[in-house]
Amino acid sequence: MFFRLYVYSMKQTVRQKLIMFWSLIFPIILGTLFRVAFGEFLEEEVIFHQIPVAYVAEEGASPAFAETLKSLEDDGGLLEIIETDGKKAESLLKEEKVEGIFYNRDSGTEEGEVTLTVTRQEMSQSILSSILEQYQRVFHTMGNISRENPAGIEAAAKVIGQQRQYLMEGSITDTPKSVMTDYFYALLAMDCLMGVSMGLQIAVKFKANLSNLAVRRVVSGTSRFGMLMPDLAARITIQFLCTLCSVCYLTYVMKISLGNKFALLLLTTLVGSIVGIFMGFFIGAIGTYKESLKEGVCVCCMMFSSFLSGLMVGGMYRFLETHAPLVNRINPASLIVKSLYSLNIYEGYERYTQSMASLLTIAVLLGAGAFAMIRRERYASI
Amino acid sequence: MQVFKVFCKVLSKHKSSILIYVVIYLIISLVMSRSIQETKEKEFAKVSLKIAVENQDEGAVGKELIAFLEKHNKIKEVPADQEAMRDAMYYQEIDYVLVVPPNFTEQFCTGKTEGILEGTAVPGSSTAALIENEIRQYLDTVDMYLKAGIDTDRAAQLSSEDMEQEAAVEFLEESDARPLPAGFYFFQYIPYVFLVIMILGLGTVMKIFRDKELAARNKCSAMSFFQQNLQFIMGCILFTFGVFLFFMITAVCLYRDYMFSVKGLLSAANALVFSVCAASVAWFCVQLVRSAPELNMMSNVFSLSFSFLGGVFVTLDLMSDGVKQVAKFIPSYWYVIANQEIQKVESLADTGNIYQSFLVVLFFALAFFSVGLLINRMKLRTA
Repeated sequence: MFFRLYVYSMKQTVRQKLIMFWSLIFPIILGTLFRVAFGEFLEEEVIFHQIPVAYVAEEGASPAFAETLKSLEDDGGLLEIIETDGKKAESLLKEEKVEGIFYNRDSGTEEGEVTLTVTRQEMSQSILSSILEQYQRVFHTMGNISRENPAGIEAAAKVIGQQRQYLMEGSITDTPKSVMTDYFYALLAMDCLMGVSMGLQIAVKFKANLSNLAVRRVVSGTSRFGMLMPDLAARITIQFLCTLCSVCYLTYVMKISLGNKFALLLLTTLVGSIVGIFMGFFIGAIGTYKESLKEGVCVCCMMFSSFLSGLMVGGMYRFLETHAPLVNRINPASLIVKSLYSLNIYEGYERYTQSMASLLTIAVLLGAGAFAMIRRERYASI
Repeated sequence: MQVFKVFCKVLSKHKSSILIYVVIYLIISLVMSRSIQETKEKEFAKVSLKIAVENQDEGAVGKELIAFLEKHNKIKEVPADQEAMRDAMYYQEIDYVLVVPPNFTEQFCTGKTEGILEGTAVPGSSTAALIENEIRQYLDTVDMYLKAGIDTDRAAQLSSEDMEQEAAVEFLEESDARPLPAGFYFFQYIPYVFLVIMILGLGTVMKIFRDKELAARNKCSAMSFFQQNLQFIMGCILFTFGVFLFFMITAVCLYRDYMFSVKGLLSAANALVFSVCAASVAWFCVQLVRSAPELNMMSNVFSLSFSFLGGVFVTLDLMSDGVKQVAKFIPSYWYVIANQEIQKVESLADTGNIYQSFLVVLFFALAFFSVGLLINRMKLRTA
């Protein structure tokens, strides 16, 4: 009987277009959106583009800084320098044609008095300010040397501009990982939790106040557990297959690296799917509320859980770890993200097993709770 | 006022689910704004990191390097074994691990520079690059002194002094210098939240009125079509304005100073304009769905795609030019632009660009409403 019910339940689920949309199409849409929004970030480490900057030199100002800028424009193409006067530069800055203005004033010293004027503080401005800072530090150093040991200046000057790697990168992982990967992990977590709508359907077909099918089932002589098991198994299978599709879509079509432990990645999504289905089942089993209300609660839980795992705002995990670490330990989506993360970052499996154990515990608790509510439920009147 | 009354009755019948949405999404927007504000502030302040240092070197350079790092960061012990280190990194007890090997000073003085230190960063953390840059600049400076023939101790000491040099950065206008107020972040996420609430809340009621049989019965009633629609629209305005008011009251409670300034006023106006747009998106969605769960689906598709592409979740600066061009066809893009412009405003006199964005959002509202109307009419004809 198990197998027959299992097959029927599978067929039933696949024919529910809406549920298939949630589990299959929606994650693909979202994955594509992520790809579009972070496109450049995933392809290169840094988005590299020339920073346009205005340069205003007073008469008599030291040429040393202009030379530094010129070399940055010619060698690396880091800057695009527009030499102009003060008024023009300001209007360029206001129109956002340049990211900043370097003012070089005559201070009577060789270093000159250079200041940077900006309108906001973002990546390009940080780069400009660090260029200026480095210039000033080197000048200060050279000044010190000329006081302490003028003979050594030439030798010291040779150091400037050498690209050195003092730091050998020690690493706790071999897998390269970009900050953006976290978004895709969160997406997979959400994908697993999409099972809530399927889980809810199981409950709807089991609560006599919610559907006619349930009325018939409740009066039948078959054990409820015996009817429930194939239903659950079928939903979990389909949810897992949907997640598998998303994983394949992300890896092969969107070309996103999700790590190299593919089998364990799938195991994680399987456990995640189980949690998702049980969560929906549990919510559906509570009380005698209307289906629409339960549907709303399901979607809210799924979205909220995904949100806390960093689906909409990256770095959520870190934020919660400092302010409310408990959330990271019990939120299913965070746990899924964490297992995927630890799978790719850590060599050992201790962290991974821990997160998976937490996930399984949650699944068992939800399943047991739901079954306890549905078991022996009787209706005086419907 | 029968239609209006029915509208309110339907609304109150669904109050529990609507309330759940409103509360959950209010919490989401509050947590989101808090977390983003925190990361943003960290990025631009001179961040203090927790660095675990193991100094096996006995020479002066190693010692001075650590003393230099200690000035702006917190120095911690390196955990006993690899496993403990991973744990500490995992739970963010340390951000960076630096190992200074034995004979570091000796090697450094003899001119060996490549890979003489070992640094480990938390995977995926962007702050580590800052500290690596500091270390590199410091050692470059020390090396310059050494090459110039100055002895190690003095070199290390002078280098620390040089590193204190900071670039003089000025802001064109005074208002640019101030960090963005917390209220800005709160308003940043309004498009997402409003879209979800409007599509789910308003959509649910609208859908009931669009029920074929109910619509047919309403049509043959004595009340004029104009009267019916007018009352229906009044109901929509009531809901939209109610949600808007609820969020504004929350904003006033949390960001009092901000809300009672010109910026707050303009932000509120921006949110009001967007809420109208969200309501017409809801009207548009209702034309496409047949059941409540479908409405749920629509709400997520529209709110998430508008938010991701419109620059609500991911800042527009990170997007490529091509994507930005596409984003211009999304109302939330204009909302976000207006929200950024508002932060530069000092008085109501210099707000030209902002009104332009308001207008664009209103045009989007009109467009969604018209297309919704068109679909509605076409369906009526085929029905």
